[in-house]
Amino acid sequence: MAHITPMATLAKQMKSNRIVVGTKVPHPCGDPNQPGEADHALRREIVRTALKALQTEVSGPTVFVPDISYTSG
Amino acid sequence: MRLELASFPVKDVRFDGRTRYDGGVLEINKEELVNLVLEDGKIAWTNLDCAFPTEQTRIVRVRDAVEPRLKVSGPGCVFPGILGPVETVGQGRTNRLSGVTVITSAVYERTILSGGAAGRTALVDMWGPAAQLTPFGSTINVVLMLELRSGVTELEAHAAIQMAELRVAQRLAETTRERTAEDVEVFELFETDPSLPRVVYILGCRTAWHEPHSGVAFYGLPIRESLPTLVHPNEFLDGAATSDARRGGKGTFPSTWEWMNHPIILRLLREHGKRLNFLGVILQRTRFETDFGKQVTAACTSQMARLLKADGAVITRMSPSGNNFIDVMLTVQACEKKGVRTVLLTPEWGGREGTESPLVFYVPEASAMVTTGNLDRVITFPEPAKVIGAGDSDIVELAVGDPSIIPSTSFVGDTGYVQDGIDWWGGTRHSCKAY
Repeated sequence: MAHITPMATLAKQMKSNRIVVGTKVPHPCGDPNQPGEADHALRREIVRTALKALQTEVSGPTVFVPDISYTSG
Repeated sequence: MRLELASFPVKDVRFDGRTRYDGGVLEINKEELVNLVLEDGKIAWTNLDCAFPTEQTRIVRVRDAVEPRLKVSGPGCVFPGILGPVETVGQGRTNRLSGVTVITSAVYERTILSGGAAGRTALVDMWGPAAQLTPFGSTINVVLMLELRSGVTELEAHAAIQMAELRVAQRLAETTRERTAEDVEVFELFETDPSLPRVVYILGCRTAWHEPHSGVAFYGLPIRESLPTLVHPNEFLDGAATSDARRGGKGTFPSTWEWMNHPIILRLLREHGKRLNFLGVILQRTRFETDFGKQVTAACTSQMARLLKADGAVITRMSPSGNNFIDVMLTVQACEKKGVRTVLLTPEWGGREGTESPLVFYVPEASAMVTTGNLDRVITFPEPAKVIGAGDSDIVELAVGDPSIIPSTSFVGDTGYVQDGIDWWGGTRHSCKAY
């Protein structure tokens, strides 16, 4: 299982094994405030990272960081 | 900044004669206040009633509560930015009618029907188990009932309810102007013995950027995504912080009354120069939606505490939001890492049985905590003799998704049903114990 969440520290505490860093609490897989294309690119990279995480052997909580730049608070 | 808070205790409230305060009795001319409220064209109907402690009375559709206060000298007014211009308050003299509140019970047609931004209500019981959960179980409550005209927006509803409530409170407090106070308490952050521990209060303030009203306003300005600000504690005593008057209810957010009578701020002010040196209040907006935002607010808030040369910080929150709680815990951690020792005061999520994980998130640095009881405690609300704010056969919804209640009957609910029934700031004696 891969767990997409903006709160990686919390996911670690809950002992999720494959943690994928998402964007916002209400929108873990994207940002509806961004133009459609940019939102789509964000979502795509996050889901790709999750698929990669699923194919990776882990031995405890491991954080996977998508290659996105995201600065909105 | 020196503030004299002059108390005029109210032992009885009567609806007769002209509006005046004499010998502990508050007389209210109902017609005068009804006309005052109806000056706002958005209000279709209003009436007033009163609820006394120990009476078997239930107040429903509660949106907010305030204490009647009046600025008699010094800059600004009580509720600056709302009842008057924005001027820094907390100086001079403020009169308060103590032991009495204005509780607002309001009905309007909601346009937001789901989610956290939807309007909500709570209840107050003047007797029985629920009366012990809230400060309003032991105050005399003047209940202002309102029905708003149809077609108001959510923000207009907030403004109309709040303005009616504050103007009625201000009018009642006016009665103290020529009277002699029974008690005057002075609040001032004077120079102290330098050996006293330097203490700051970090007041975590949960607001939402995307809702019509963010939840808490400072000088009338709803606080949205922003960095922490430093506030003199006296400002709160003059009503600088106010709640969203559409949803002070459902017990999960403190009412305006709580902000004016903040137990931690009052206690730290009273201990100033005795046991500690109170440096001020850091009002910290919380509930950032990204981990990044949470880290920024934690870093800025702890840095402010360090720049104040704080030895210690008391930290609290004001919402059951788990999202919000992460910001608070990260702030505890950031303060400890900067050498500011912390005490976190919070109620717990125990679940109805009291056996669930009490905190959704924790950091090892949070090694000193005070519990103020269980958020989810189950209560059987008994059948009342009188209901204020609804007819006997009315069905009342508290919050979206909660079962509706028939106020004239007995039902089972939890602490969240009660206005200010959850103790965010340690004003009650509630706690949790392991057994």
